[in-house]
Amino acid sequence: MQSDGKLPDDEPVRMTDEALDELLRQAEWPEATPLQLGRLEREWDRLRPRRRTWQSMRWAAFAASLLVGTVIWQALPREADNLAINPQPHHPSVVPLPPSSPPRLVVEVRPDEQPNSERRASTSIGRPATNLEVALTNVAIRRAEREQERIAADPFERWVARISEDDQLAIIDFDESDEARQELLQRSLFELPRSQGQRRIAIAKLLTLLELPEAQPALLALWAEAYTRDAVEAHLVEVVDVPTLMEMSRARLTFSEQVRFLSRIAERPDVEAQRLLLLAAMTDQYRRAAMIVTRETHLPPADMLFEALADQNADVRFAAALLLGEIDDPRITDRLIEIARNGPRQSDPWVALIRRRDTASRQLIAEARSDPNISSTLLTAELARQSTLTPIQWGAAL
Amino acid sequence: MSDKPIAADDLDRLVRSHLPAAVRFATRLTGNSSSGEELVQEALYRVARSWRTFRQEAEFRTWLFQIIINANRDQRRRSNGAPLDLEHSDPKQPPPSERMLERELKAEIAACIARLPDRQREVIVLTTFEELTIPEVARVLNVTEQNVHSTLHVARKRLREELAAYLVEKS
Repeated sequence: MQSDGKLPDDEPVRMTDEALDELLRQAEWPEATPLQLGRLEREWDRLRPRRRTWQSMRWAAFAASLLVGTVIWQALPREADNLAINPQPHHPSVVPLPPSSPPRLVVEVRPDEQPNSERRASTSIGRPATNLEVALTNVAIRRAEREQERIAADPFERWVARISEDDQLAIIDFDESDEARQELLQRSLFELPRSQGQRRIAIAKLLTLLELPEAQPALLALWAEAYTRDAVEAHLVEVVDVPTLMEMSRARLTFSEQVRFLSRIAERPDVEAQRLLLLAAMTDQYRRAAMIVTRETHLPPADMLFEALADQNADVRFAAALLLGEIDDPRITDRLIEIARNGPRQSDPWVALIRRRDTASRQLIAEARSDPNISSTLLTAELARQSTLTPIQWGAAL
Repeated sequence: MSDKPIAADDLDRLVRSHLPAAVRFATRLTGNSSSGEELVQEALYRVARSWRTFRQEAEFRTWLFQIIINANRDQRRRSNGAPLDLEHSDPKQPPPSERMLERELKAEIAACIARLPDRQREVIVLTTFEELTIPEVARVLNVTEQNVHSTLHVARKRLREELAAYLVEKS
């Protein structure tokens, strides 16, 4: 091959044209399949020009002889009817041969298709590496670099990578504009069905960081998957409306899941969500979890529970009393004692006080046991409380 | 150069014997085998239409490549020069793990060639892969030899830049 004029100074990598060509010849394209070649051969059979045969010429010969005969007949005088005309049939002077059978395909053996076993065989550690060998060692590094470049150029991939690296990334760190958030949402919704594993979790977390209501259906779908539930649950519990929250709470089957879910509900500032805790305490399935959550939460919904203690529905009052009994706060004790003294016939405040372990509650209950006007109410409260205990708790109480 | 037109049977023999090379050349120009097949199909139609203009049997490959290149340019013009849809080779058996890097490198080199502008890609494929001489390339592309030299230089410079990341020894 002819080499062109070289300008070595402006080349980024010093490499001769021959060396570059050698490297380029490593390029690999798909080979033509026999099916493709067969199709093209059939196409060529249809298109190819053919030698004229007698079959294709006989109509032309017939027309020509007819024309000649007509001309001669016209030219002859009518009186010369007896003139002998020898209408020789027109035959082609040469009978054409049938088309020769097509030659078989000859597959070319090209220099760039030679197996490179010779080059490999000559490889040794005693000589400098060839361009191909150097290039081969850099393939993996270059692949990683390309991936980094791709991530750097794509905001979506950048956030997914950042979330994957930093599990504690918070909404405050997410400083994208509204327009960018919408674009990220669309891209996340597109990528989500095509992702799995850690990438899927990262996309799920990205959706929570977007803080867009449009993301909520996708987040609920992710919450329904066990694999991505943890990534989205905390966010969902904060943002979904109460009916959705109730729907979500029904799916909590195991005790630990119930506790975790109700803890997140208890942290919500809105009273409507907090009332779900009360609702949980009214059902056998969730009561114990609701009591544990109320005991352990940093901000128990005390005001809501005291309000519920005055509710017309006895079940609501009883559930509120159970939960108030779990809150370890002297101010709660004081308020309960005040309510109990103002309405000694009401059993619900006593249900809460029986459960409490502080000195003031114990002292009041001791006094109540010796007071014949209150002892029956106290007994009712005790029996009601015992009705909520499980057999194991019964054993511990005895 | 002989002025006698080629016989139909001779043309048939030449086309059939050059068909695999034509498909390979078209695949390198278009980046994938199905586009290559379409291109050769179009070229065969043009060959059947204009075979009487061909005179010299020895240069049939050059003539055929010229037709393929012209057909490719027409197709590229119709697609407004859209990027090539590169297809990676699909061996019948999966390669052993030690050949994975080699295969990736080969695919990347093919991708670099596919990213070249059309004229540069034509020159590189004709010189490096079809091993045509500069005068032959100039005839196929209907340009001057100087033009081929300068296009080849620019194409090689660009390929060196694209492949530079693979050729610097890294720790």
